[in-house]
Amino acid sequence: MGASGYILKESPVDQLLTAIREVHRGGSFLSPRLLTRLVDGFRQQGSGPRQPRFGT
Amino acid sequence: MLELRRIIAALSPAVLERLGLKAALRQLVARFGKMHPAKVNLRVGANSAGFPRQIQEVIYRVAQECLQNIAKHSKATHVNLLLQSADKRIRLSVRDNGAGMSETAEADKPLSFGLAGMRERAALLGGTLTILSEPGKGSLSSWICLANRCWRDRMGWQGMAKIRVLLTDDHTLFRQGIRTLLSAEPDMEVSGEAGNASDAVSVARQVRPDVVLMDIGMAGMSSFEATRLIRKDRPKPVSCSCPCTTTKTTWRNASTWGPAGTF
Repeated sequence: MGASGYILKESPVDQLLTAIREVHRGGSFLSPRLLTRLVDGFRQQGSGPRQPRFGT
Repeated sequence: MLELRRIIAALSPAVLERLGLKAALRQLVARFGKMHPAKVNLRVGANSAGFPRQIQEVIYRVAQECLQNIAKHSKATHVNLLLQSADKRIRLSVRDNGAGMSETAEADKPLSFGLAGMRERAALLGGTLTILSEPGKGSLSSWICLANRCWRDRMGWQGMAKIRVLLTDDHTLFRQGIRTLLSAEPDMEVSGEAGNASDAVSVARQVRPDVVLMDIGMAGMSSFEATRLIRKDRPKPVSCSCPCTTTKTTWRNASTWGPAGTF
């Protein structure tokens, strides 16, 4: 039930327009800078993308 | 050049024989999708398979020309390609939300291959091709064939369905700025404004927006609660997009509350 997109107020106008269109089409949108922070957050928590391991 | 066009027009698209009109149009749209980012919505009426062969060819060719024109000249993000028939009337309409063109633009370029070709093709079977377009408002090409008589499209220009946006921010100037920006877009309009989250919920009930832009960190009701309520109100969930502040606290809140359904 949360929002479909998150965008920063400092984002360029083009990003806002893209976000509105994308969300309207049923997709989602996240400012690239927010995405970076999110990925960093996951990494710090240790739940982020890990190096794939191949059988030992 | 004219001769070449006649030869091209006379060629029967083999794809029609192989696939039938509906599948041929689908293939056309799929090909368009590979070279252009616009989203194409294709709707073909049930009885298109029963159209006379010549009619099917003209429909295919006109659709092809329209998509080519859109790919070349328009910066459309959405295209509606609609084929309907009722009684003896067949109507093909191709609508896009691209750059559009002025009425004189076509007259200025009498050698415009695409448009002239489309008109010629459309006239072959006594149909009428109407192209309505305004700069910045996209264009609508519509080919209508009524039995064997020419029939003028009386629909007139109808604006495209716009994305209706509700702005929520506690700064009036910010809302005004966003309103000005969105008004310049051909496919968007601001259908309401609210200065806080709780007002946003009641305004959303009145204006039924397609997208809600919700600031985070306004006084009073939390934006996340308002977003939840707005989505709950709508039988079909409304999409909310939140311009949020960049402070770390706000973002931490956002990642705790908001994105549950997003990520």
